[in-house]
Amino acid sequence: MLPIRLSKDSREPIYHQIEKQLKALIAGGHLAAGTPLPSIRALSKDLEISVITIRRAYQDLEAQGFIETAHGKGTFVKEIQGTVKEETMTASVRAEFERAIQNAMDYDYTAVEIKAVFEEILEKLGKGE
Amino acid sequence: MPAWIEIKDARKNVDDFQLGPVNLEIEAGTITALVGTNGSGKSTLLKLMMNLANMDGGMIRILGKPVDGGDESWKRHITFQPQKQIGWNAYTGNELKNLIAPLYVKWDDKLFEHITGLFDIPLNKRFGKLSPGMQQKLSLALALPRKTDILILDEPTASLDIPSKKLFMDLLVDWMEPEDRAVVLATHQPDDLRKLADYLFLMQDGQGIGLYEKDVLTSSYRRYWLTEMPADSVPGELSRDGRQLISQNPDATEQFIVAQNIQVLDDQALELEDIISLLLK
Amino acid sequence: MNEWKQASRLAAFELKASMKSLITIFVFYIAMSLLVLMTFDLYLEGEFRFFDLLFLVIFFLFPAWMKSKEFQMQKMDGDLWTAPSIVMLQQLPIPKGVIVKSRFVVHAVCSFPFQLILLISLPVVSENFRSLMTPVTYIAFVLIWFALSIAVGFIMAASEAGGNFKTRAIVKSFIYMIAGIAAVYGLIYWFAGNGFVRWTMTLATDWTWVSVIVAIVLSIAGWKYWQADMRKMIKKTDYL
Repeated sequence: MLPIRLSKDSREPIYHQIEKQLKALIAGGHLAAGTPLPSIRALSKDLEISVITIRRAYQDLEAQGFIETAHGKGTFVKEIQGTVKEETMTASVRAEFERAIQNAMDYDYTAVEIKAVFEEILEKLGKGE
Repeated sequence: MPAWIEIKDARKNVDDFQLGPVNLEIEAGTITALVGTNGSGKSTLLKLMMNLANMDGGMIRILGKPVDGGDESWKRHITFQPQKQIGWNAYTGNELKNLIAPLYVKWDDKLFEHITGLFDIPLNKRFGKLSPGMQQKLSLALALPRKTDILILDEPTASLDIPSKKLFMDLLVDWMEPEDRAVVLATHQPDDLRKLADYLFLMQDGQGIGLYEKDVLTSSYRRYWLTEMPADSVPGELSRDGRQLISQNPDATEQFIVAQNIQVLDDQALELEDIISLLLK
Repeated sequence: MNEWKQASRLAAFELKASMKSLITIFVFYIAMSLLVLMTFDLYLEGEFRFFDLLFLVIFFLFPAWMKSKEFQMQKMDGDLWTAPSIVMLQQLPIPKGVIVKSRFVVHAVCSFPFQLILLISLPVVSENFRSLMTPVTYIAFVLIWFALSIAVGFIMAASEAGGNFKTRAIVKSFIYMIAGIAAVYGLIYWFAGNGFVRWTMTLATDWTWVSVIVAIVLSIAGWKYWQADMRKMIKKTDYL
């Protein structure tokens, strides 16, 4: 079973959520090249999503070179290039920051306040040298 | 690829009850759940698919063959598990297997043994002497190994205990692994819908309300808590209760709310059961 | 032929599943029948007219009643009356022709041996019968009754297809049936001057070869007709 957690309350399309999380797992090295992915039907049951949506996510990921389907054998994680890995990680990290900053701005935080919070958390997590 | 099951304007009158005209197409690789209140005509529709009754109009084709035609070969490619097995009571599980297995070229004896072992089904006891739950387990053990292209299940989990329900789902998911099979199941179990169904076909009073892709359905409805409720009806509005609004078109609703300068305190997707209840109201 | 083979396989399953009760009832019915047959001599002397009715019931209905309850025609959901096997077999990939034939095999197995024992018992229990019949006329007599077994008795097999009936319609048709039997019964008495069984004996002795030919034709026609009729009924009935 994959550590994928979907937010059904989110307005972000489900297939997009699946794609994003799978990309992160692959780019982050949690799913090494050659790792078999669950079948579309099995993932559909685990995530409680129709096979139509899962198939769409798999097709997108395949088109973007993250996974490949060997006919009759299943779907596997593909070896991805360093640049793609890099880009994916950057995109993922950026997206998280954007969400957090957007949240802060929704609460009317100023840029200075946001930076202060950022510094403080960085300090707390022990990498503030 | 042509639809594996094709139902066109199928109609049937039974005393005061009127089924149809029903239109539905089932494609390979999908699980379609028939959902409806009691007496909405689900079982009647399934029995029409098996040609167990004569239609008053319309047409049903299985794998391209009209079910009420002279060619009955389509029955080899379809498995039907009714809500209540009729005529099975006098036979033991072993006898039933010996009766059924030779009728299907792809019969999988290993799978049969796997399922009977998994559910601990006594095969030397007469079907009529088994508990309803055990009867249902034996029915499944005699249905899945037929490995037909189409599997029709009428409330297959109604009498199963919780662990068995889970096992059944795993079995069915495995069964669907070759992507050229199709399942139609009538069910009242929310778990069956959430974990198994790709499409929902909603029925009410003998009428088909619509065929919905599950994820499209769940993303089409949303509940909003607003700072204030507009007096006039909101685009997409389905129902309102105080400052709570249920929309069946979240995009239109949100656009309108922003334009009206109304704040959304919270918003939430609706549970599948809630959506079904709304549609069957 | 392949259809008969498949039908026999299905029939064997059904008969095997009810083997124990089938044998018990068979023995019980034979014992009861022999008791009734004790009055055959009396009947042939014109003393016991009621024998006719008893013999007809035994000959035609006992074979149909032999099957255990699970295989008998019964009321299902709604207005459906049918034998459960008919519903079960239709849900499996079995052609309608085979379903019909399997019913006929089951009924034949239940009726033919039983009826043969009855017909063999007649000369054994009755001195009058022995003196009235020669070996040839006896064979003609047996053929007449086998023809009746098929042409009339297999209504019981064909009717297992069932149908969608209201209870009132069933009661009505039952009353018509009784009235019909009574009418035929009365007519035969009126024409032949004595009972139905006695009349078939007369046919066998006075019209031996005509009887044999008619019996054979009737057997073949009945066998085919009831199968076609049952097929039609299965098609017509809603098994909902």
